[in-house]
This record gives sequence, C-alpha cells and structure tokens, in this order.
Amino acid sequence: MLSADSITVTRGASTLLDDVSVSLACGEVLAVIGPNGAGKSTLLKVMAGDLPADAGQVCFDNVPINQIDILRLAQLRAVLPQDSNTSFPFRANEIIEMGRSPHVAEHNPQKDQNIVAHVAELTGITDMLNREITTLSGGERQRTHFARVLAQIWEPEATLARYLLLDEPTSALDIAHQHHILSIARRLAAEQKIGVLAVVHDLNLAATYADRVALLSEGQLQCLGSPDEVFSSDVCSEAFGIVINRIDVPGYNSPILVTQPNAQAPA
Amino acid sequence: MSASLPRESNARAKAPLRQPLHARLRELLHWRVNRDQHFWLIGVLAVTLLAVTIIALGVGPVVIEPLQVVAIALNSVGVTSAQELVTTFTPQQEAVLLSIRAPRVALGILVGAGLAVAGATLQGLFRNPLADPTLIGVSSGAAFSAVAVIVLGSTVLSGLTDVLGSATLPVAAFAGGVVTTIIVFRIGTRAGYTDAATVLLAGIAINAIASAGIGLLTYIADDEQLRTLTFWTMGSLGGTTWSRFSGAAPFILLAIVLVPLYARALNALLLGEAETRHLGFDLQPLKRHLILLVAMAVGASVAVTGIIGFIGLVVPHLLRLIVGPDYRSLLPGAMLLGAVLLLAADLVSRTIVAPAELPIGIITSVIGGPFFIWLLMRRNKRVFL
Repeated sequence: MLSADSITVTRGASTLLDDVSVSLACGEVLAVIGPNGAGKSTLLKVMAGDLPADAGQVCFDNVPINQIDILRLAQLRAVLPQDSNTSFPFRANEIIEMGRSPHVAEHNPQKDQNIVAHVAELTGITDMLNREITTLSGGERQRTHFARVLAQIWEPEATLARYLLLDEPTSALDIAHQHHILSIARRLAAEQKIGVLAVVHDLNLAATYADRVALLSEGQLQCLGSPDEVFSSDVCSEAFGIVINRIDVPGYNSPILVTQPNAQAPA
Repeated sequence: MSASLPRESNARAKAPLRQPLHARLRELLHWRVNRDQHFWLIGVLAVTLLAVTIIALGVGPVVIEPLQVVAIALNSVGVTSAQELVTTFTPQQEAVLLSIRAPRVALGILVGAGLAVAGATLQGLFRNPLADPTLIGVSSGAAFSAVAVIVLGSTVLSGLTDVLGSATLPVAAFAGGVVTTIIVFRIGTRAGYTDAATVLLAGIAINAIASAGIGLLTYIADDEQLRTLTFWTMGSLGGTTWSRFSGAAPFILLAIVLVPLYARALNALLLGEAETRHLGFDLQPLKRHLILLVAMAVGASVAVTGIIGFIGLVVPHLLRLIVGPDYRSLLPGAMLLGAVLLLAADLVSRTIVAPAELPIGIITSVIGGPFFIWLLMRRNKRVFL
C-alpha cells in the first residue's frame, strides 16, 4: 500500500495541495483527474518522493518514504514524468536499459536484455529499438520512456509490492496508443499486482481503465471513488467548470462522458 | 532499512542496497567485452596513443629514433641487453629522454585524459554537450588562485606559502577550482535541482570576475612574475619535471579511475535530475562527488600546465559521434583520445616555432574555437559557411 496521508504543500502564499489523502493498493489502477493547476502533478511528485510535503506523510507499507533508501525505492516504484527529454542521442534500447539501473547489483545482463526486449514488444516499439531517441516522434519517445519505467519494476515472479506513477502517460499519443498504454497498465495491475497511479486528462480513458478515480481541484481532493460514483455526481462538472453529461450504454462497462459546448457548470 | 520494511518487501532482502563497488566494476568490464561494438575503437586509440607517445619522445633538438626510444625504455626497466636486442643509443639521448621528454609526455597523457574526463563529466552534470571546464569557470578560478600565489606569494599570502611550501601552487589552483565550481553550481541550483543554462551563465560571470582578478594581478606583477603568469593563462607543458608530474598525478589519476564508476549515474543524469533520483541514485551526494572529481582533475591540471581549453569539449563530442552517448563506452575512449590530442598539440607547440615554444593553450583554442562554432551551427541546423 502506497499511502499519502493529509498531504499539504504550500509555495509562498499559495497552497498547492491542501490536506489530501489518497492511498494506492497493489493491483489497482487509480486515475487522478482535475483541471489545470489542480495539484495533480504535485501530488504525484510528493508520492514519488521528489517533493517533501509541508505537512502529512507518504508511506510505503507504513514505512515513511524519507526513511527508505533511494535505491530500494527505485526497486519499489517507477515514475514516468510528464516530459523526459534529452538532447543526447541515446538509442531507444539504451534508454529502456537505463530502467534496469536499480538492479545492477544482481548483475544479470541477460535478464536485463530479455526484459528490454519484452517491454519493447509490449509497448510496440521493437522496430525502433536501434533508432536514436532524438529522431523519434513525441509519441514514440513517450512510449520508449513508458517502456523504460516498465523495465524498472518488471518482475513477473516477485511478490514484492511495486508501484507505477505515471504523469500524463498518454499526452503525446494517438487515440489507439492511448488505449494501448493504459491497457498495459491495467494488465500489469492484474497480472503482476502493481499499483498504478496515472494522471490523465481524458475522462473517458479514466472511466474505462481506472478502478478508482481521484478528482482534484484547487489543491483539494473533491471526490474519490469508483468511476461510477465520481462521474455520477455534479462534482466533476463543478470542478472543471463545464457541463459534463454522462451516457450509459447497455453492454458497455464504463460510463461515457460528453462535454457540452459553451455550457457553464452550475455554480 | 530492509528490516523495517514489511514482510512482502523482504522477498528481495538478498539484493544489497547499495550498488557495490565490485558490481559497478564488473559491469563496466562486461559492457566493454560483450555488448559493445566499439571495442575495436579502444584498440585503435590505444595503438595511436602508443605511436604518438613514441614520436613525442623522439622529436626535439636531440633526435631519438623510434627504435631507440623502445631500446631506452627497455633499458630503463632493467632489460640490460636492450642495446643488443633492439638498437644502440647514446647516453645523451638516454638522459634527454628520461629526464626531459618522459616527464613532459607522461604529464601530457595524464592531463589530456583528465581534461577529457572532466569535460565529459561536466556535460553529464549539466545535461549539456557544450559544457567544458573553461566555459563554466573552473579553469579560470583555478588559474586565478594560482596567479594570486605567484604574484602575492612572497607578500600578502606569505603565511600560506610558509605552511605549504612548494605545494602551495597546486593546492591553491585545486582550491580555486573547487570553490568556483561550488559557487557556479550553487547559483544554478534551486530546491535541489540544477538548471544547466543558469550554470553556464554563472560560468560566464565567474570567468569575467576571474579574468578581472588576473588582470589586476598582472598589473601589479613584476617582470619575472609576468613571464610565469603568461604561462598560466595560456598553458604549457614546457619545463615539466618528474617532481612536478608527481605533484599533480595522484589527483588526476584519482579522478580518471573513479569517474567511470559513476558511468550509469551519468547516463541517468542525461535524462534529467528527477529521472536520476527515480532510478535510484542519491542526487545530492552524486553531484557533490562528481563536482569534486572534476575540480580535482581540472585544478591539478591547471596547477601544473595552466589553462588548456577545449580538450574537455572536443574529445567527448567527437567520441559521441562514433560510440554514442553511453558513458560506459564514452569514458575509456575519452581518456585515450584526450591523451592523444594533447600530446599531438604539445608536439606542434614545441616544433612549429622551434627552438622557441608556442603555449599549448593557443593551439588547442585555435582548433577548439572553430570546432565549437561548428557545433553551435550544427545544433541550430543552420549552415551559412
């Protein structure tokens, strides 16, 4: 269990996160949604251990995150930042292989290579493995980095609790790849019991792939529950400031969300 | 820490927490032999270095043929029949080689390798292929404190020279390098993360301040000090003795040996500092160690040779074109190529206007300056020449 308890982060006079509590269980996909500037990325950074909380605590299985060795932490969780970019011409396979850095002590290069090949196939970038990252398109780069974070915590046999923190993993992807990446996350949660937290902007993606949805707005947790619960109330429309209508299609598991043009949400 | 993690986490209790030294060494070796297609390059560079070394040892007012160089070398390591086995040489040739050229060439190899490694390391730290010890002010900081010791050593700073004796100059240059690096880094760092652009701009400012200081000291220096000063600011391997060599060697060697152990961390740094942390590297100590190693290599180099620019910029860049950016391939090649280039530049510096010598810094800058411009144009994908 990766838990954030009563997290508050302030920057000068503004409060980025105000008493937010979220927990991520192994094997679940938690989508974090909310308007721009709601504090989604800040929450992810705090839970990744990048940013200390001004109040509250992040714990991995009840151990405070600041007491966990950084290398051990890297074996427990992988983080996909919004934009990983480098002007150095690494090849895609070299980028993915970097994900194996926390496992150097095992010294099993063959295993590392197998994992690189496997996650590349999973993310559909096998053909690009020998291309330089600087020549790839934005979407291909994003998938390469996604493969890198998968490689970092790839351990099909392990019972160790592991977590994947994704900050807008689909921002540069076409519609098919958006579904592809999130369905990989979904499968990992089910098959390897990895806890996945993903910041997503597309409400329908959140509704389709998430077990639970956390709605943040102005640094506060407005709503946390199943997609069905979160999207059935008016909270969502209020938070985004636009009318969001819900359509339930028989035979389709998740609600479909449609925004209404030029319609202000009820204040 | 593992003890306080709960049951399920102990599945991995066997894996050591720190990346142990032997694992890092083993990995470096493994990469070289198995995975890397560039093994041949290391071989070519090593042979080139050997060839340039033999030429550098032989060229000068007293000519020593390559075979004679080999014979003298064998003789000096105890092969008494070297003269019969290889070829004959005169005692004068032997004396010139062993006490004049050998220390100079040895220092050239070490400084070339050290500057190349320092440049490659800085480029990783700043995620910028244009970082170089001279650009971010490490070299000028080291030169400033060296010049201060030269000019003020017998007056204002006499307390310092009394304590440190002949080590004052290298120690001062080293300290100057460390202090400027720390200042530049502090200016560029916010909330634990370092902004490369700010660091480079801070380097320009530090360069300006240091050269103002050097200018002031030049103004109050006497004639003899002035000649020594010129040497510092333009760089030279001239007059190298074994004692000068051994003063700088430990520092440079330590940097050359230790930096490759950070190869994976440097790779991660090229992705970004947050990514480096996510991959399990402790960012602050990592950056501190690397800065210290760079300052050590550059400070010690500047202490014995003055400012030699652009080696740290040109060498890693040329190698990246061939072996790619992976530091595990880059660093060994950079050491060899750095040594080759510096030896070649020194060879030019002492033959082009013989019997006089041109400061080596002029030669590396004449080659490095246009190269830098070419890099900038290539980056902007604008070719207007």
